[in-house]
Amino acid sequence: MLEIQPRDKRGYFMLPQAPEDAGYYVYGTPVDGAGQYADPVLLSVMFFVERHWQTTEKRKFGVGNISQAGGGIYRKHSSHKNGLQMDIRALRADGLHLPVTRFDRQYDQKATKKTNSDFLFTSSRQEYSVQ
Amino acid sequence: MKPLLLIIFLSTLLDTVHATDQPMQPARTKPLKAEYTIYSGELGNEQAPSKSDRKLAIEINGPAAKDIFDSLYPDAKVTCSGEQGERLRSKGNLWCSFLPTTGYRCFLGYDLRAGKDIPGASC
Repeated sequence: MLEIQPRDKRGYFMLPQAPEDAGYYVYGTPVDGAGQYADPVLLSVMFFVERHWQTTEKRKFGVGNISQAGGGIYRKHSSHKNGLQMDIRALRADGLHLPVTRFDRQYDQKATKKTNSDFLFTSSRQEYSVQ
Repeated sequence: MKPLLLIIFLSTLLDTVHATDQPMQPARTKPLKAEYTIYSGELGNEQAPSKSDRKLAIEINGPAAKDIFDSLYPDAKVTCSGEQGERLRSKGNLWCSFLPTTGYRCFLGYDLRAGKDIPGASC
């Protein structure tokens, strides 16, 4: 049976929940993609970066909170209402789908810089914050 | 005789200081509209707290958030969403935002096991 990607009242689709051959994995609360409704422009950027990423990398990068169905306040965030902000996890050297900070031994600065650069290069709106 | 003179002098000096002091204005205590989460893991992916990992995130709204926002001046040069009219202010891990669509919101957090302040929200 053909699976239809969930879509909210704004017409924004939920980010595909990391199919097996994807270059990214998903995380974040609320679970099951409920916080991953994205503006089509952001999805296009994400897929472009993902394809570029996969040409040189076997590891996946983590995609977290984007916006909830219909927008509105997203708890623990000031933004993430219009589907144009997306949390990306820093890269781990071991490739595990877990959080990492720049103070951890597993933090891969070079790979994190590469994903940052890919998004910066691809985005038309160059607003990027590292947390 | 000397200690007695010193006491008289100090007493006179204190009286003079009090006479020029501003009238006392005790700080007002006001109601707070807020919600909190105790969680483990990272912001944006909060999980149920565990014995060793318990963090507190507090969000303050309404007039209290505006009051705190006003005290944190000046505005930061960065913004989170790019939404027209957005303003951010912070001092350390306490930060507040103002958006025309959502009003004033302030965030603070505390690592309850490590005993240190942490952010209570991210951009």
